Amino acid sequence: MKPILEVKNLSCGYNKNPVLKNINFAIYENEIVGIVGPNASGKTTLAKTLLGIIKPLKGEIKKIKKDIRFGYVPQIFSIDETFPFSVYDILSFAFLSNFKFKLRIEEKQKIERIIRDFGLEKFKFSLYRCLSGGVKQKVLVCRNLLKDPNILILDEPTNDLDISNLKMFLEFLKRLKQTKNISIVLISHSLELVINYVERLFLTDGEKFEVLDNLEDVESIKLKVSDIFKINLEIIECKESKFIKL
Amino acid sequence: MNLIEVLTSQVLIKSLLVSFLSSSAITLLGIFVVLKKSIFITLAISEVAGLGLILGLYLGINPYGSMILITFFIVILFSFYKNKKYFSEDKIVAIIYALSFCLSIILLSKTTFSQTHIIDSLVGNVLAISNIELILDFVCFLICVLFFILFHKQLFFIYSDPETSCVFGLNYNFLNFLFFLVVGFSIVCFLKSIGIILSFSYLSIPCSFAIIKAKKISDLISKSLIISLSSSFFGTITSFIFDIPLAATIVIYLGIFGVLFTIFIRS
Repeated sequence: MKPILEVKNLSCGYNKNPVLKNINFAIYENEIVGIVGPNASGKTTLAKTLLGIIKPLKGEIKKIKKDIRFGYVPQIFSIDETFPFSVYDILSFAFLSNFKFKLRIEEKQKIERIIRDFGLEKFKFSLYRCLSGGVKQKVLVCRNLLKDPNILILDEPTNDLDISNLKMFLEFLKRLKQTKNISIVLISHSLELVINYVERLFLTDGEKFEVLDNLEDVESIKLKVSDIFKINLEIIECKESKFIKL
Repeated sequence: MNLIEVLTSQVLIKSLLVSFLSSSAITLLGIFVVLKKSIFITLAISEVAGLGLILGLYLGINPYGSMILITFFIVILFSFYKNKKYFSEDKIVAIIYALSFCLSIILLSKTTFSQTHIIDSLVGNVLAISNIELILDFVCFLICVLFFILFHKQLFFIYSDPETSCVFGLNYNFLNFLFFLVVGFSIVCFLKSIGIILSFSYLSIPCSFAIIKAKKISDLISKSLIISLSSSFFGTITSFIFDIPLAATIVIYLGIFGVLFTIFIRS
């Protein structure tokens, strides 16, 4: 796998106070990677630094290709739902710029196509705030797809989803990776929810930052997860396979 | 003066015109004020604009010049102020509002100007509007409407989802500054005719009620304008017939129409 983004000795945080210090990792082409850690361990800060919303305090974020585009799905509660935006409104925001006042015909066609391709026809003019958590996440992902990103970062997308919506949404991301050839970064505090859908894992507790490249190595995962989340885990064997018991 | 004479008088027609221009322009901007949850920032800007006017009168310089300068300064402050842990935006708003209000009272007590100046800056004086000022109000209306038409989608995006809008290439700081600049400009332009209280009410009341029943953005805009324009119309007529203060009457109508809209209009 080829790396598309390399992070070297990165320190990030707010007001010169680092939340994460000297971290190193790479994101490869067409992979799903999870950033997992307890609450307030700097996961969102890291995402915002990668996206350029906040400036790195130290270190380097190296784009291997110059035209790497990021997509971002923020935590669901960070989007103001007071106003009656329709799904179409939310999608059309993808094509805005500071001085662009009208959508082009091809952009409108692209919105229509994505609505059709992702089965959102019946929600096209529905109020965004009235949708279920799963459909909301899907709409926000589709908005990003309109911009053809190379890396899509999703911040706590599993919050607010019941078990059926959760499974549906994570399967949707898996299909997306295969069909659209993009790298997906999944940020979550729930290891148990994302572990089956990611290919690599970054664990952080704010002080340590561990990269787990091989998720088949159950012993190593157990040790590192126990260390990061400060809990005792045990491994159970069942039909010649090993599982971590929570 | 009988009712027919009142309703056909030039003064009433001019007042209605000013009310319509100011209400529609400021109500459109108020949609974003409500979305951004910055209602009290606009009150502070209005108060500071009033202080600028009084300061100009006190110092014997052009009051409109001092008002524009001081409003511009406060617009820059609010546009670029980032919330600090121990000094949040609402604390800044409260401090600026209280200080400028008290400073206005102190300056007025030390000048030869009568109390009518402070009342005029609070509630406006539409009767004293000259034809030139009416044209200026019209120009201000055009600028506000044009700004709304051109930038409404960008503002909806940056205020509802600031982080994603930055990732998508929109410049939050620039658009936010531009918005506050237009709000400050409209407050300054309409201060003499409608005053601080009515500007603040147009910015906050129509959209706050319209949002309850609105099912889409165009619905929200039209409902806000209906509440605002109908209140301006009936408020101005009532004020003339019963000879009561115009701005205060319109504000009361804004509240009444807002409640009626919420109860009777089907979403």
